[in-house]
Amino acid sequence: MDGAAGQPAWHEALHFGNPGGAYLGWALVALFVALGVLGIREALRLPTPGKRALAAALRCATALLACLIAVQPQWVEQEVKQIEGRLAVLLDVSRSMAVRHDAGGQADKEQDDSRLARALQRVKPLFDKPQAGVDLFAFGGEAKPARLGELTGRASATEDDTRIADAVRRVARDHGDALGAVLVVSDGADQQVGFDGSGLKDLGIRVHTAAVGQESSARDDAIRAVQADAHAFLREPGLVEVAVRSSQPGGTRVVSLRHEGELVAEATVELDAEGNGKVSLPFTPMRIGRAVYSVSLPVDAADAVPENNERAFLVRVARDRLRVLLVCGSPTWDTRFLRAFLKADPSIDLITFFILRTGSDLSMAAPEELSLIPFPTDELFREHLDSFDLVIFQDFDHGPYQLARYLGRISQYVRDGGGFAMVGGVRSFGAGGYHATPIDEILPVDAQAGAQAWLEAELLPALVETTSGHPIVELAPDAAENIAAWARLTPLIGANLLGAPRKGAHVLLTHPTEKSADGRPMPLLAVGPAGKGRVLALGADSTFRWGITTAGLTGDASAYERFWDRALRWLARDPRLDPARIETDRERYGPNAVLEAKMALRSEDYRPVADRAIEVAVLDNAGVERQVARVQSDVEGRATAKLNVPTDPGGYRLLARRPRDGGGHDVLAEEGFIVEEGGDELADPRPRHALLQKLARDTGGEYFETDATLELDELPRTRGRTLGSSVRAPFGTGWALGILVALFAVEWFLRRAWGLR
Amino acid sequence: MSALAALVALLLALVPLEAAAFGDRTIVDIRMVEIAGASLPRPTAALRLAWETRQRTSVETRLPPTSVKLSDPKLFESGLVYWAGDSAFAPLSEAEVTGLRRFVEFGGFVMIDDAAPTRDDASTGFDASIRRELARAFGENELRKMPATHTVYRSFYLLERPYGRIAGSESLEMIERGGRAAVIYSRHDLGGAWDRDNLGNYYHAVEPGGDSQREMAVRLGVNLVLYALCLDYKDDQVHSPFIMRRRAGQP
Repeated sequence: MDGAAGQPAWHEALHFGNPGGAYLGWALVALFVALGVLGIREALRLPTPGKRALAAALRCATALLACLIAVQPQWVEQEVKQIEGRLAVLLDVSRSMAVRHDAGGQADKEQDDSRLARALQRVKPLFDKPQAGVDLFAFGGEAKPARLGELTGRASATEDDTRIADAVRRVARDHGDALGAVLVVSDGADQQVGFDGSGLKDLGIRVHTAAVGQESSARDDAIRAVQADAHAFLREPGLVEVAVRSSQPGGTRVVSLRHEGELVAEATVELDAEGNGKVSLPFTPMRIGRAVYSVSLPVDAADAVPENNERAFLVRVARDRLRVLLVCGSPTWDTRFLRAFLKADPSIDLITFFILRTGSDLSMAAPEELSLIPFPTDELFREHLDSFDLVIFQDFDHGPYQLARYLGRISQYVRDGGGFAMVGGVRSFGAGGYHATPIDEILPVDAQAGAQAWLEAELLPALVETTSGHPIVELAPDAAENIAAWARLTPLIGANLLGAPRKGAHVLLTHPTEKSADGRPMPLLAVGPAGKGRVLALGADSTFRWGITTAGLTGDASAYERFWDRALRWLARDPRLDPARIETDRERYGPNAVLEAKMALRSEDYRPVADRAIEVAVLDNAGVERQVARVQSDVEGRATAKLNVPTDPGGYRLLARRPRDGGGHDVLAEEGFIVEEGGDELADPRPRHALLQKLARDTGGEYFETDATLELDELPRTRGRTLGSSVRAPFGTGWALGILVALFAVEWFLRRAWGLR
Repeated sequence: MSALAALVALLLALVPLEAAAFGDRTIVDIRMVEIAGASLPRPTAALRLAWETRQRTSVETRLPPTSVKLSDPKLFESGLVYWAGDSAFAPLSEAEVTGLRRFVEFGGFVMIDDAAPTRDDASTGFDASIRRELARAFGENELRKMPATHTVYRSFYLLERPYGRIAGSESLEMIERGGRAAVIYSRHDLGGAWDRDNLGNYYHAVEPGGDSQREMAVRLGVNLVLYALCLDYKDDQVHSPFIMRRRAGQP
């Protein structure tokens, strides 16, 4: 690649053109050499020195010629003209460039002494004079056109990745033949696994490299990597493996694990002779959803890169088992089939209480002859209530068991995020004495007062058109099929009298004939929120008829199972049944990086939030709003937003919100993400100048030491363009083959004549 | 004890019972199985069991119980049938066998009571017929002995073994489906021990005899109904310490 722009120059090169490929060529060479050796050994048995010499010479010549024909050496001459092209200056703006240029030196808080600031100083003269054909690119994971004036030093080093090879290839591809050379200005702290500076020769362009950053022996402790399962189970212990690196080998370091600022675990890690060590720390998620944890090393005053002493990780916490408390006022077929359904599901941890005997029953036996146990009300509704994900009162009246004092506690449990279902019967809702109690306050419908607040007639529940897409009543995905599926179910028998739905509630099924006080069809099944929790009210005690009775007629009991499975999952906030979702393009970002959020939004009644203004807000751990973007959803409720994440490291929540007309907003969906200053980019930010040297050497470019001045004249930016070429292949002709045959024939003739085989 | 029980029962029978269901159709109906050509040997047995269950437990039972044919779609209206017999009967129709099989598969519970068991447990009469039909519906060798540790013996009362009009075998037999005893077969003439008039006069003497045996037979009947409704509820971990203490004679 030597040569200045101007006159063409000839270049010669030797190639091998064996048509069968290298392996076949060398195999033939080996064969011919072996045949040559055998022939020579045989020739040495001839009686006279003259005959021996002639036979051996003929065999050598034959074998040599055969070898040359097999590998086909070719002399290629190319006329190459060096043409000057554009110079692409690739400036590394990854976050390792925010580290101090001399990490071992004294920090100067007044001055930007980052590697990027130093690199900008060196690059600036290249653009001072109006130069044609010099382009500036900033790169991290990929190269993007940049303007010098927009790069401000440390603050501009924001890219979370460094991939020099990808950046060079991208620029070479985009510029095509117009590119003459590339100048990479970087610390060489590349993140691409296995890249050592080689592998870019095939581009045919010079890559000059200018090193930045002092390869000092400054102290730096770092969290090199964090490995934790992306998913964990509620109340089940998990482990995070932390890899630590230190520039000071040997000794120990203390690694701390924190969740929302609270210390979760600490462990001591021993460093090996290279300064590496690993340690595992336990954690037990106690809340479902996205949990942000952080691991950290103590920051020494001499630590050159304190930013890499802490890293965060995000765990999605789900339930491995749904903990359900089922309380039944009396054994009935409805309680029996619901309990059997719950018990059959291995993902459900069920605690059941049946009231098997009331005060008026005469068991005709002494207590020790009975298997009955006391109803542990205090244990269930005070001590362990919070350990349940869902509480179901099925045909259960609280009065006889003096539960009134616990109703407020149950109500608060739901408002704090628990699930609650009241399933009908003569002991439920108003008939069970729940009217105007704390339970009534959380129900999605009014529990009508009255000891006889029920109807006994058979009924076929009616779907509500606006909520028929709700997963609890969606027996079939198609609306018409869903209506038909409900019509095939066996009618229910009897219903509790339920009042009008409360604010925020959604009525999913109604009584076919009965009306509420407001004149609308009486709710039979309604769901709604209560604080952070969810509540379901079902005014029927014969849903078992959707199972055994319907199956007796149709052979299919799946509707019963599907209904209750969906109802339980919805109550327990199973993420698979969330009406709306917001997803980020990544889980972790560097400070001020761009986040892309994609949303699929449906409201609580599972109808698309179509053609609506949507706010996308970023909240920090303290709930303080840090960013807001506004977008418009499409007809299917889909939307995309881009926004800059905050500059402070930590865990954040991303909320999709629907503004209310009168002010305020409804949160439709949320997701968690992490902003971290360390991450892989800073896990090992030590300069790697050897990589830059190798890159320059391999591609014919110049390498500039860390403080060397950059001059355009010292940066050749020509690339060779071939004007013509000629190929000479003397052993690929018929003459060569003819000579080989002739040599072989003469040798064969003489050998026969001299008595050899 | 029986006189006292009868008196209490009589007094309670005079008190109007509070409605505890949305009408009769959703409460527990101990339905008797009707087989064409077969007699009902203990016509009041289901009524007595329903009445005893209602008096002794919180279960609301239908009074009087109804009866149902195995081929009738109404079989699936409720989850329990009581099938008693004292003599051989003709093979069931295919519709009846299918109805029986599907009833059990979809969650139903079948309580079978041999009202004429032989002293040596020989398979004759009703027993031979019922085994034949169970084999048709559920396959050969599905009927097996119920262990003494089964939940049936503690679903309400704590019992040691089965009882009926005759002491009979020390175990019941059962067919399991989905981890539950879906069919339970007694060769103790349970109905014979329950059968009585409204004044408390029992129709059949118990063998070897005694009020205790009859009471135990009633308790087993109640347990069977409670098992049909609560399944293995009494196997839940929360009950274990209480039950173990009581079996050990502690309070």
